[in-house]
Amino acid sequence: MIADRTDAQVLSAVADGDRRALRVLYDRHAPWLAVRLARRCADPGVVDETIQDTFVAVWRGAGRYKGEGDVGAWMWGIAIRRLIDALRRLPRDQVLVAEVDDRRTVEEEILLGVEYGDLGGVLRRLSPELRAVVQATVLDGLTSREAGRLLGIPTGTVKTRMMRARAQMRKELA
Amino acid sequence: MSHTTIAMSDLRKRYGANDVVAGLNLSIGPGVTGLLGPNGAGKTTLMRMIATVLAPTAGSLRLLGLDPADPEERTELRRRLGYMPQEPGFHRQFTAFEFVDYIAILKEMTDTSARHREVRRVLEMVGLGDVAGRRIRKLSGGMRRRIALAQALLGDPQLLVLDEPTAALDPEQRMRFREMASALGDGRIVLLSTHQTEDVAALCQRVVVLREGDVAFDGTPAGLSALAKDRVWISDTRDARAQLWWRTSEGRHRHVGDPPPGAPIVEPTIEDGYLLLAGPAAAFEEVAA
Amino acid sequence: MTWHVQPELLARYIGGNIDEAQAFSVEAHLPSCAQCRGAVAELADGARLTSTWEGIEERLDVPRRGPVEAGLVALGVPGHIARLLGATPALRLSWLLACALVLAFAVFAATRREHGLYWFLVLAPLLPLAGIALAYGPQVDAAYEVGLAAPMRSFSLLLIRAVAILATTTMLVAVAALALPGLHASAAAWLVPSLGLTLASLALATRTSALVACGSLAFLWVLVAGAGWRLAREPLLVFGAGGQVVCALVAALAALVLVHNADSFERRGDMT
Repeated sequence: MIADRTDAQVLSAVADGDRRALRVLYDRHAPWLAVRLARRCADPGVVDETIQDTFVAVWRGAGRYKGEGDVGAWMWGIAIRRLIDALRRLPRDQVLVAEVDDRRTVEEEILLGVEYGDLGGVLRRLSPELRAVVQATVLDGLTSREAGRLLGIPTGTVKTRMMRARAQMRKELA
Repeated sequence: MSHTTIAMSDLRKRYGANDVVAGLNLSIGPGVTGLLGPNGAGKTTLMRMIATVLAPTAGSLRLLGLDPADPEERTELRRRLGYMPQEPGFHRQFTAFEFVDYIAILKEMTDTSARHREVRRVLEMVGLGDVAGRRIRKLSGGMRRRIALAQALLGDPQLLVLDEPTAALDPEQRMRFREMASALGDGRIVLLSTHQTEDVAALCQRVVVLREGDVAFDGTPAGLSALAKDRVWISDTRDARAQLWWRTSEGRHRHVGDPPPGAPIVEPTIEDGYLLLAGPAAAFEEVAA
Repeated sequence: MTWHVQPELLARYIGGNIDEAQAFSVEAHLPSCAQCRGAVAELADGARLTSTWEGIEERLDVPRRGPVEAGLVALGVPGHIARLLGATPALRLSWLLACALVLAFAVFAATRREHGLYWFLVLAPLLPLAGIALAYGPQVDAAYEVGLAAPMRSFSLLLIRAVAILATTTMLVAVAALALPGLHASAAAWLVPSLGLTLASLALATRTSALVACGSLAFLWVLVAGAGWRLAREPLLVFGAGGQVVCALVAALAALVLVHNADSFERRGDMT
């Protein structure tokens, strides 16, 4: 039963041209990819188009996955780069810059404390611009140039902001 | 009435000194008609003439009220016709979708989005929706047959000519084909040639048996089996007086012919009637198919 | 995997109602946790996902254009005709490259050998012939029989392909001819013979298969050109004014025969 197979097995079936395998992969991954993309681009039409681009790319390039890391992470790498391509075709006001939200419960504090030390608080204290750059390079795994394209800022600015973010975080965590 | 039939009168096809189709007189209407007969009986030649890809040597042929000898009428006829040849060929580098799309262009579907919708529709009909994007060289024989059937269904034709559609299919695939095909006869003329009497039993309202270019039988499947009434018997050992015999799955012997007195007569099947008509050569082909 | 995102946090993440640091946490976790991804899928908008999937299927199924087909469309050829031409073996990139190589060799030979121009001129009309031999018929067109039963006239299909083949090989030969030593009128002497041979092969194809028609004409052409050289001691005899006129007459005659017998391509179901 294809539904019981691991992502890597399903992906290799996709590489063999099995359309149903692609559907399984889609059902498993499209939802979370779409949510994550929506947090970087305000336009749902662009998000849907990017999801399509992503899975078409997965269909064609399934053979390129060599088992390094999670399939999910591999797919996110494809998805974020497709988003960058899509955004380059659009006017610049589509990109979300994250807002700071200070409402949090005690449980979440504890949770974050256990997982990341006080990293959560440190991140929260970064300005939105610095945080966006950290998200793009550290979390999304983009190069400085790609991050610049995603956020609509020059590569040099990305690097400067990363340096400032690192400096601030190091100072706070020390 | 003539606009929904195939009508042939003294239809003949000659190669050299040999009449492969020897003066046929038939009229075929809506529903599924089976064409049975051994190799060399003229089935494929007849199918080709009806599919308008072969010109008769003599006689008249009218399809859906049109004359295939006239270029204009032939083109109009081809718009209402779907043909699945005995040995369909495919451009192997194409995907299933690309191939059916190519044939759809030959069928004059020039509008791209309408054509793609139609291609997807026929591929879904034959159960190939999931593999539409796969290259034909990577598809099994049964799936390739289904592609050939799909292209015949393009444009919802009034006349379907299927030449041995179940040949080289395994029993499960044959069953699936019969399920698909049984609905096709509604409001259409479906002419289907086969070696398999089960196809006839499952699908056909009418059956025509060809032998050496001539009509040996024309009637219902029940009528065909009735030919062997009281002429089929079973015994534990082989009886040399029978015209034909074979071993059944229980290890006994089934005989068709003139039964000796006192022999245990059994109910005849379509297969018995067919073999009685067509002879030993047909028996070999049916078993081998 | 022992840590999972709390349902309430996940719901807030999906709803966009979460702060960045918490979102970081969730997003760092999801790529490696199938269970939490499943939880996201449960809360997702099914209708929107289905509609997006249908868009994917459309894009996967729709045939991609090869370079030749894309080029044709760019030139203004209608999409469906470009698709038909794209399926012709003789218009595939590999075949065109092979022609280019042959021509390059011929030009090279022409610059070195004494009667090099002769071989070039004899070779040039053979290229479209080879292409047409591959353009039609059960031996080369797998879907031949099904194509016969289709409404589009087989003659029209053959003609479209022949025109495309003649055009592309003519362009290739013209480019190669520019590289010949000493640019003079003789370098274009292959044009009319090309046309004549092509039309003659089509006319012959009304009676026999395209392969036989092209093969026999190719043989005949080489023979006639060689005989002309032998008889007159002048290698380019066939390509002189007289030869051009003869080729033009052959072309005209062949065109007439072709048009008159166009219907003969239609019912050849027993040609195997």
